[in-house]
Amino acid sequence: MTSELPRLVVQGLSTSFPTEDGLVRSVADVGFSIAPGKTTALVGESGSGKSVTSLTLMRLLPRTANAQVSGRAEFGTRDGRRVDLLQLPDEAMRALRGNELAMIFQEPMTSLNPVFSVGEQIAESVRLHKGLGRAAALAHAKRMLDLVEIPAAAQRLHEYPHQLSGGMRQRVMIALAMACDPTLLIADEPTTALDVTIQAQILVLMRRLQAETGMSILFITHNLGVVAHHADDVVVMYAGRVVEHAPVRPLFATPGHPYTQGLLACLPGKAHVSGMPRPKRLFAIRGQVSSPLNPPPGCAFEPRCDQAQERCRQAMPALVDMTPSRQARCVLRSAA
Amino acid sequence: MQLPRIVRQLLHRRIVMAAAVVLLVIVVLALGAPWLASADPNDTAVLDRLKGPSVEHLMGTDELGRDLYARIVYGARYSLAIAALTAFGSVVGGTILGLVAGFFRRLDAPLMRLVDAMMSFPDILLAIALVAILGPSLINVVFALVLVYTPRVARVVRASTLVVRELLFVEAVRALGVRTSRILWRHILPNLMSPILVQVSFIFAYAILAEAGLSFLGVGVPPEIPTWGTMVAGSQQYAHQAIWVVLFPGLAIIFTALSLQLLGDGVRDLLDPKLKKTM
Repeated sequence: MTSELPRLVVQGLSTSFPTEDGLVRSVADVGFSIAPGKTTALVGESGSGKSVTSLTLMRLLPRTANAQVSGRAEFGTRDGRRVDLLQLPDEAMRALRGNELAMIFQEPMTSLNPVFSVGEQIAESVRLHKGLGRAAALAHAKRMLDLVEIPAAAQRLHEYPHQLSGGMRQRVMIALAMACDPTLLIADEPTTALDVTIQAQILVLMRRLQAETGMSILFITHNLGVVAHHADDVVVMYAGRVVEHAPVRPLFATPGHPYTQGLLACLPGKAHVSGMPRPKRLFAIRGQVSSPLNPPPGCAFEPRCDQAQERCRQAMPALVDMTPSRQARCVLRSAA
Repeated sequence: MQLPRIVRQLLHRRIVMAAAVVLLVIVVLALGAPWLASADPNDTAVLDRLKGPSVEHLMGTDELGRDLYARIVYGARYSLAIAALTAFGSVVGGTILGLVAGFFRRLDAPLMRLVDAMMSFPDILLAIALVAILGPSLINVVFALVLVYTPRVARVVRASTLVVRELLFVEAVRALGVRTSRILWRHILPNLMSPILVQVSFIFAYAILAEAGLSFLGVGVPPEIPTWGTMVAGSQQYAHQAIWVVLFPGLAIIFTALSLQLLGDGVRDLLDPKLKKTM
């Protein structure tokens, strides 16, 4: 935590899948970085490449998908080395996974093995990475359940996933992810499957754990409300590309990309973009995400954009600096 | 006719319990054969041949005057042992095959085509061919039956593996850095235990029938070993004079196989969480 280097630097990350209808570029030239102890949110609608980005970083894409990955993902390990997650040998990657890099999934109902008690599942991870014995690992598992504020942890330890509610299971998943004290936590829509009150509890818990351990979080979500409260930096993705990258406050104050503006306008209650009158009806971005098999020649968002111009149709705009700390992929910003 | 749910459940449960009791009695008889059988199963007494059931010979005697009750009790040892070894062997083989085929997609097609090829032969025909090639002995019968039933288990295990491998927890444990072999062994296999257990009980039942069938056809275990199958086979031509020579071994086969099937059904209901209330 003493180093000033970001914990994770992703550059030019692209992931493509060969399909019968041609190559699908799910993630194209994505770059961002996460500072130690900070949270970067990856925001976008379904199919924008958020989850593929996280799975690519964890190297968890199914082998049968034959994904073609390029780019760099430089990760600072605990012992001070900088490794490229995309180039690491399988064995070394496995040693990092669950240990320094942990992941929480969207669906807590099916993310736990139904035939093992939650204690055994948490214990497995620490036995694997820390080489603890069975008893010590179980004791550690109990501490982890305490840490994620599960009441009667000693008793819950011996319960099976089906005996726990969704919120409890997500807490167990967090305990499982945190068991080896990771430095980077990838949370793939961790609260999407939970109801709103539980969502808030889980988010507060994650923030507390982050403050205590100094871990970095890559927070993948489509919930902008969550982003506003919990992220430091925001990466907005559209059709596999980064369309805007900014610290959280400026992004919400003055969204730079028309897509981000549209997303913010879609929020009920907050539906007014600065300079525009508060609309009476709920705003929706018109149209649909373009097919990844047949992307428009210019800006991917151009067919849905109200501010589209002729040059938007010609070529994909570059990601331009609006200020030193923010970028947007829009011709309107490059003119400024 | 629609009986009340409770009555049906109770009835179902009673049948399973009865099946369990029948099996227990047979297993106790088999294990305690030296003490529970009144006579040596291979003692011949030509003068007492084809005698009907009496106090001295509970189930009568066969064409060589051997005590049928003693032979059935000793025969239980062999028949159950053959069935148990067959069930064990084919479940181990089929589970490994099915797990590998279901998990490693590249191996799926070649392995399953092999399994299909084996399953395309009628069970008994394949077993007869194998025993004919290998020669009739207890071990060869077991080996042939294992080969016959392994594909069955492999199919079931593969199907269940395909379901379990797609569950998110498999990806979650992978994200924890668990290696593939351990995921298969520690995380997927335990989730397959209920279909596997059901297969054990069914194959146990099939194997008893198949062994009897093979012995009846003369390609099973050598005739000097008393199994229920060899008893029916050896005495069949006397059936019209003395029905008991085939009746009692036949009943032993029917009761054992039926009880095993019922128990298998019960186990499946018990292990299927959606049907748990039935038990």
